[in-house]
Formats: sequence, C-alpha cells, structure tokens
Amino acid sequence: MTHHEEQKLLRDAEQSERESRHIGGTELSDAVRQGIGKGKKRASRRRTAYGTGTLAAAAAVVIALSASLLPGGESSPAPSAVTAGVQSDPAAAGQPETSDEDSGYLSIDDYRSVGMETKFFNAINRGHMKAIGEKQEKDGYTLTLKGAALDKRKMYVVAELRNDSDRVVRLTNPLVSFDNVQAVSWSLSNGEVLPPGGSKYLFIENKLASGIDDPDQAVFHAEAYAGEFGDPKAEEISFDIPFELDAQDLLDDTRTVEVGRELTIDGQRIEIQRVMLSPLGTYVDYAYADTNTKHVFSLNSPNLKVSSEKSSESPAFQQNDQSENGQRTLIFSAVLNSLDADSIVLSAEGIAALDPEQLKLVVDTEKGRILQGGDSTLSVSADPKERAFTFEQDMGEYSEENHRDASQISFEDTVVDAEGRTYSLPYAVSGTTEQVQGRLIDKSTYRIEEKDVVQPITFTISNYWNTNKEQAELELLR
Amino acid sequence: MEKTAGHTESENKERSSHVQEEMFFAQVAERQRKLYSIAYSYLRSESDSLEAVQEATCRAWIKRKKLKNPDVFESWLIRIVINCCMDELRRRKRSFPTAEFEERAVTGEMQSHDRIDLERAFGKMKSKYRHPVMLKYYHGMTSAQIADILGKPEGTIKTWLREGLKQLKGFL
Repeated sequence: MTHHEEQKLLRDAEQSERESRHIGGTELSDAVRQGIGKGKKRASRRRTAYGTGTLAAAAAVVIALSASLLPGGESSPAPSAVTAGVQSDPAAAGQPETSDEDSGYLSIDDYRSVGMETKFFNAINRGHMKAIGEKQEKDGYTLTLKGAALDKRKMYVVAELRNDSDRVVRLTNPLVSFDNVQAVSWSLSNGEVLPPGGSKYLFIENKLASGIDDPDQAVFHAEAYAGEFGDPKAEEISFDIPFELDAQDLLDDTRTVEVGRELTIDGQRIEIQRVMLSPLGTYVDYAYADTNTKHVFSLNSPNLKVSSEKSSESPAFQQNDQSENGQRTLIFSAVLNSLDADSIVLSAEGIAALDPEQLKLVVDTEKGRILQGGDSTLSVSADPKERAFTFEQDMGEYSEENHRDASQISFEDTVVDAEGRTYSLPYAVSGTTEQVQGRLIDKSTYRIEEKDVVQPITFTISNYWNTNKEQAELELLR
Repeated sequence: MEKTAGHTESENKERSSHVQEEMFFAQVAERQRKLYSIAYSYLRSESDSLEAVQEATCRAWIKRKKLKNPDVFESWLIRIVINCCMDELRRRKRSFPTAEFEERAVTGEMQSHDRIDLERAFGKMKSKYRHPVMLKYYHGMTSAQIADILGKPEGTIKTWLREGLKQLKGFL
C-alpha cells in the first residue's frame, strides 16, 4: 500500500473518530440499558417455550418420538427423531411472531409447529443457525433462505418455498457452493410436493468437501420441478441465490483431537485418526489398515462417550460416511460440552468383514445356487419364469439397533458370466429388510434383461453385513 | 412461602438477578464509548451505531454465561459488536442492491470522495480481511489485540492484514 493510500485510510479514521465523539454518554448508556432489556425479553421467550428443567426434559422426549424417515430423502441420513405435531405449512401456522433478522439467528419460537429432524431442531434451539433472508422469485415460486449453520464438514440450511402458481412444485438438488467449490452431496427433509397457494419450510443438509475453510461468500443453488409427474408441460426452474455467511463463531467452537491409535477387532486393525467436535456434529475419522487379512466393510454399532468433570454424553450415531477421496468417518450428533471434555471413548460391537476370496460371489441365478463366495448367512432363490433371482441374508437376531445399523448387501456395477463377458449389474426390482421369526432378514430381488448370459455369474461384493459381535473399546482422548 | 432474614425466596431471587444486571451493565457501560466508536467506523451513522451497541448488548446478555474467562470480556464484546455491524451492512446491501454508493450528509458534512472510495473498497473486501484493517487503522490496535478479538493466532492476523491492505489497494 502506498503512502498516499495509507494517508487516505488514516484521514478517514481520524474523521470517523471525531464524528463518533458527538454522541452523548446518556444516549450510549440508554442504548446499553435497552440492550439488556431486549436480551431479557428474548431469553424469556425461549424459556417460556420449554419451561424449567423438568419441562425441557419432557420436550426432549416429545422430540424423540416416532423415529421414522421423512419422505423425500434420496440420500437421507440415518433415521432420526422428528418433532411431534408436524405442521409443514407455516402459512397455516400463522406468521412468525418475530423477524429472524432481529436477533441475527433463527429463533426456535418461529418453528415450534414445524416438523423437523432433531439435528435441525438442536441447531436452531442452540442458536447456531444464522439468519439470512435472501430470496429469489421465479414464475410464481419464491425460495427464501431463512438461515444456515456450518462447520468444516457440513452445512444446514433452512429455506422456505412459496408456491403462488397453479401447479404443484417440488424442490430438488439443493447445493451450496463457496468460491466455486460445491458441496458434494445433499439431503432434504420435508421435500414432498407443495400444492398451489402453499408454503413450507425445507431442511437441507449439505456435505462439504474438505478444503472449504473460512467461507463467507456462497451461492445456494436448487431446482424446482413444477407440474405433476409425467406432465409433458412440466417445467424446471433453477434458483441461484448468493448470500454471505459468517460462521466464525461455530468454527471457533470446534475442537479437533488428533488420535493416531488403533482399534483391533477380530484381528483386523482400524486406525482412529482424529475426532472433531463441532456444535453441529461429532466426527471420528478412521482408516482400515492395508495389512488387514480381511476386507472390512464397517464397524458395527459404534458408540461414543464424551465425558468431562461435570457431565457425560453419548451422542447418537448418525451414519458411516466415505468421502470421494476415500476418507471414512463415523458421524455422531453434536456434543453439548465438547470444549470441556477430558475423556472420549469409542466402542464398537464387532466388524462386518469377509475374507478376500469371499468377495467374488459366483451364482447360478437360474437354478438359485451360490457356488462360491459370501458366507453362511447368504442364500439365493430363482424365479426362472420372471428371469429373476432373490438374495436373502440373515442379518442376525432382530433388534431395533440391529435394524438401524445393518446395511444391505450391494455389488459393484458390473458382473461377469461363465464365458468371461461383462454385463451391467442386473436391474434391482425390490428390496426389503424385516423381522422374520425373531431374525432380521434382508431380501433383494434382481432381474436379468440380457438373454445370452451364460451361467454361473460372478458378482463382486461391495458391501456386506455380518456380525462377529466382538466388542472393542479405545480411548481417543486421555 | 419460605422466608429468609425478612425476605421471601422470590424477593431474594429478584434482588440477586437485579444485582447481576447492574454488574453486567457496569461492565458494558465501561466500554460503551469504545464499542460505539468501533460500530461507527463500520456503519458511519449515529442511529445505526447506537442500534448496533444495543443489539450487541442484547446478544452479550443472552450469551453471558457461556463466557468462561472474564478476562476476555472486552474482546468478546467487541467481536459481537463487529458481527452486529456486519449484519447491518448485509441488510443495507439487500435494501440497496445497486453497487452505486449515494452521497449522503453525515452530521452536516458532505461525504468526501475519499470516504466514498474507501467505503466502496471496504464493501468489496472479504470480511475476514476487513476487520484487522479497521481495528488497526481506525482503532490503533496491535496484532496481538486484534488476534484476541478475532480469536485467531497472531500470525494469521498479520497475514490477513497484509492481504487486506493488498485488496484495499486494488480496489482504491
């Protein structure tokens, strides 16, 4: 910066200081008093919603009822609780009492009658969602960004969609980008069709690529499909809404603990690399050792316990994630007192793993026979008339936890027939996971379209569930 | 109702919360001119700056129990005021979406061209670079003091200062 420019800055600074001295002390003190009064009113509105400790605990129980997936979640996170009293039309619920922009943060008072997952509820209730207010209107559809919160791994956005047209509309593909780096995936709650004349809140989660650090300028992109499914006149509308987001306070409240220790289960080594605790979530990064003798698919029923002198929390396990660069992460809900924690313990109830030779599954899909691969929990049956076959896997004793954590068998995108010809994976017709006589049974039915496939067919397993139930525990912070 | 030393339990609670409020007011009032001066350097409007001080006090009151270390009260409060100012600047951008800056009279003085240029340049800067520049040049703070306020290492502040001045030069 040149001397001339620096002088400009200093002259302006002097003028600013001179002008700021014009204000009287009494006016300043009045502003401070009024601020305290405003703060007391705002704080008491939050307390009124949830009462004292007993009532707050009761509210938490209400929130935890009815653990079912919300519709519209193409890549939904693991099932998690929703608030009771789903009222997805804020217009019917009446206008919010306060403007989000008054406080700088979204207030839970304005969303009390709206159904949402616990993680969004907590983010709003704990004062993490910054109010935004940017909006865009196109062809009678208005999308408003109400608020957002982010840490280094994910972003939550609350948006409102208003439909002033004469057709139904549905929002999809909501993705935030920062400085041309786009979020890598999205999930959307409350995203089913919106009828004409209606409006609703949408709850969006974006997974962020690593490398997005200290973002402030962002663009929210989404598409809306207007019209009934199959309507030739259906229209696609694109929204691009620039906004600013200062997430410094959340980033400041994030704690990362480098671990670099191993968990060993069934002779297989799992290196726990680090744990990151943010106001939005708890992330345990890990990797399977290259020297393992088995191919490990997952850690079963992971559990985390975060303790301090005053309290101990076990955040809910949400999902097992693998990013595009291969980084594996166990994602748990946020811990309230992460900055005070002096002990973090990770435990698991076994692993899902197969020997390398079991990964190639050789199947006669016409006769319904497994010739090689898999294990004793897997069987296959055939329906030659339909050219279909069904894999059935016994995933162990039925329990809610097992049902929540178990993941279905899946295969790589291509298969090879007996003559070495490669085909696309047969078309998946249906899949169910249910309780049968006290066992958790998964069934997946496929249909072969090609007529010249020579049996048997070799599938390559990419995901498999089995439970060796060997418990293991590791202290991540001591 | 339980009585203690001639007062009811609820009267004691009320007195204790009144004392807390007075203590909090005293802590903020001690710094009110500094907070106002910082708000004014961002907003350059008496009414908006008073509003920012009021809003910052409101947010600080709500979050006061989260502050573990009383020694950082001032830095913490300044950070809240800066956030309130940035919220107002964003609100202004939404209300006046054109990039053109209109000359307006402030306390009877016309805006100089330098002022207009600087305001336009600051508006284009990344906010994380703007804050160290403002706190150093407008409020005479050292890198260490700025680091405390923004909660970043001093090295980062020096980098941001350097980058901020570079950006400012490019925009002026």
